[in-house]
Amino acid sequence: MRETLRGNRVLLRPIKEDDYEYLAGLKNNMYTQAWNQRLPPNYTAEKIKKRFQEANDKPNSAILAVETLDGALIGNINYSEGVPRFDATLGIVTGKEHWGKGLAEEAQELLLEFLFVERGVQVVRLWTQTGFPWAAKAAEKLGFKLMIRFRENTIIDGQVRDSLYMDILREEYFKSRNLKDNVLGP
Amino acid sequence: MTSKSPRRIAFRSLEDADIAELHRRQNTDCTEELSELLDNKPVWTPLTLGQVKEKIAEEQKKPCTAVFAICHGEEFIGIVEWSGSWDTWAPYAWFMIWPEHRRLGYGTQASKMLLDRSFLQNPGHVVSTVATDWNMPAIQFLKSIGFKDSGRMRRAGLREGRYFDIIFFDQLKSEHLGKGVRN
Repeated sequence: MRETLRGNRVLLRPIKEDDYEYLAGLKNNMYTQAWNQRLPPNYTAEKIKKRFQEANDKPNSAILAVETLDGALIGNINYSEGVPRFDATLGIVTGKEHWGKGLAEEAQELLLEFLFVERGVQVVRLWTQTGFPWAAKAAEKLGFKLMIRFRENTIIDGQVRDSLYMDILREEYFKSRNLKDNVLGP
Repeated sequence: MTSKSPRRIAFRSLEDADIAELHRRQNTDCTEELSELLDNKPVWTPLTLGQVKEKIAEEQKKPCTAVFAICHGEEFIGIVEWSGSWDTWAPYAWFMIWPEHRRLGYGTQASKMLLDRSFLQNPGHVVSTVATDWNMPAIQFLKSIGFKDSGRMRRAGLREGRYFDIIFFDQLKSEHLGKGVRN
């Protein structure tokens, strides 16, 4: 059993007070807002702290900081269960300076393990959009499958883009990782 | 030759008597469908009258969202939720007609009215809606009025011991207006 959400390169931990400034900066950056329509870039540390605390107060959901093992905060990752122990939606945002290094991939892998192995969910979902094609490719690398294309559903960088919904089923997760699933589903 | 066109329907506000009827329907023949509208989980659980009122109020609080009645003359024949709360560019619309009033053309009328309003009285570019994969009449209906299958959300829930998916549909403004029929 993995004792904490700690991998070989990153760990997922509760958000600390001095994280909020950096995380607000990510929300104000058009590349790292991680939302399928543009949000106003008016996030302050105080505003994002309030948002994150409200989200963390909801049962069966969490927003966690993603930190490298040498202590650098690189972003945040979140999940929210729809029907508890049945389905969860996952989201991640990391600073551009940390892209392309496999850090976000490991963070998501840690959270997927927590959701499937410890929470026992049947499906994990995520949303992205075609304005950032690398995001869907990264999700496919983790085993997510593109299931819904919402045509012309959003505007990114002056272009009309599609929103994408992707998911991974429990048995797909276990099979792709060569793991045995000891929990019988419904 | 007698015209077989259905009489015109209208949208109007949901009043107390309608909410009482919604409560009755949610507790009898439309439990799952109304639970989806009212975001009631689990969907098989009955709601009290107070809970139905509260759930409608919660939906109505969302920005750019309305829940209202479909009427045929004075008769309350169905319910609509229209929402641009996520994005007015891509609003979402959902409606149901009570079972005894189906297959009479009211759904076709309601959908045309909603699409017109979404694109001509709202800055909508694409409208989406959903149907569960076991609801073949709804799926066939949506396709018949020009919605395109966008894909499916796998394992949206459980029904009779089996997983079901939700199928998403959409229709672009250009596709709707290109049909040349407006209400």
